[in-house]
Amino acid sequence: MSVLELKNIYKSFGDTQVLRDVSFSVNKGDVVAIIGKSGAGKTTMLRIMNYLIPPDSGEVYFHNSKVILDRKVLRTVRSKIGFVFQRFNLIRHLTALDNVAIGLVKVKGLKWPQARELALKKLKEVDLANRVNHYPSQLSGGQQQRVGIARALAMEPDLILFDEPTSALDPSLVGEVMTVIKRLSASGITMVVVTHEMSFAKNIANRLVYMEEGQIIYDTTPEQFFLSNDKRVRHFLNDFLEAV
Amino acid sequence: MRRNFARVLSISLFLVIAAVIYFSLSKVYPFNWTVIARYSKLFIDGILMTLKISGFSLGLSLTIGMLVALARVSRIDFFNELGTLYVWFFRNMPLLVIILLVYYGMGSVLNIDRFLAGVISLSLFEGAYVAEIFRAGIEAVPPGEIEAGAALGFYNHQIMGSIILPQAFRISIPPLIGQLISLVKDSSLVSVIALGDITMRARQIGTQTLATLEAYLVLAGIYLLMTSTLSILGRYLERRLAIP
Repeated sequence: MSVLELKNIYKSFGDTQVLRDVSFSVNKGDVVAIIGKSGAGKTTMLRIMNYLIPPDSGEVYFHNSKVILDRKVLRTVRSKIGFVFQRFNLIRHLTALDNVAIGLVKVKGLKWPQARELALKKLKEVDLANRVNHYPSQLSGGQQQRVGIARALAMEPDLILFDEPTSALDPSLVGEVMTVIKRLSASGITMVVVTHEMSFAKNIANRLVYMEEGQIIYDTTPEQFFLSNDKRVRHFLNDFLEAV
Repeated sequence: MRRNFARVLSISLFLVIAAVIYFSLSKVYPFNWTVIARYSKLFIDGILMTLKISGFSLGLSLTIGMLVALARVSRIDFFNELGTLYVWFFRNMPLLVIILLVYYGMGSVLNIDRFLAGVISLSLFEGAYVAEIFRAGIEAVPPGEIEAGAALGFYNHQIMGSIILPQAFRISIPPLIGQLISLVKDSSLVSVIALGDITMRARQIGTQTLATLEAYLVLAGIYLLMTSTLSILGRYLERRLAIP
């Protein structure tokens, strides 16, 4: 059953064509890793999924109904799609707890006390019960990102999109965030993760999407991808190993 | 320690220079402070009037400033242009001219009193500066946080109300305090329409007692006292509201 579907998406920024005829569908329970070189269009594709960026042409379907540029439609769709940002994007003047609670209040209409109660539960799930009253600036990158994940989780989304969730972190902090993401994937949450973490792509994801120059080249299982003899894939993996 | 020493030294130097000027002046100018002391009630009336004008103008100029700033960041071109025009007009017009125009223009047509004319003039003028301060504050809010709000499903007005404005306001506090101090100083110009503020009272006392210089020296001291108090209050407010 398709949770989200992209159909023939095109997107350009100025003269640069970023996505060329991308079609892609996420099914319930999928854990999709999107990999590819920087500039391949991964992040743009992810942002089109929740319409943070509207496509130039093509359609997005959420639970088989078409997403359009309408404030009510976008509100409903976005409230059911979690988004975890590369640079966390926590709201600076709110505590960790309120960062998680505010969506429940402003979008789901909960009262603050109930929202905070739920937020506390979600912060516990990401091992941050002892940081609820800290402000973003008082948290490490890894902790901030886990608040970001709790914020997405609190909305009880049908799907969570992760935009390179560990790329802005110190190497020593990647582990704690990956642990949380792994735990989520095991719990059956549908997710799409743009990542440079090959171990995640290899060991956790059940689907692997490889992009190059604005197109999806492969949409397959991790096993098949890593064994592929395709020159482009070998090139990408070799470059990757060298970089590491 | 060295810092404190430098401060004490510079204050002493300032006082010595002031004393030297005062004593050399007193050789040719017969200072008469006793006559001034008798008019202390009039000084206090003037201070109260200055505070009253400044207080009302502060409220009104913050309102004007916020509206104009919102117009300037609005996506509606017409509001944008209107806001720009406002700022252009009132920042390129001497306050004295605005006071005269409002008092003799609006005053004669709408029959408004001096006080109202003074408050309106000051508010229109300071409002343009406040607008620029708020606009800079709004633009200083990280775009990522705005995106985070959008991704949660916030409506635009909720992003403005819960994410942008609370931060913009805090960012704006230090320059706003500076502007408030300017407002108090600028309010001395309303004395031209015979509104009984502290500057007008000082001039009155000077003419009545012939102790003109004494009256103006007291006036200078009063302004320094008022503005310094404001900047201390401002620093306190800044610390209280700072985002950790």
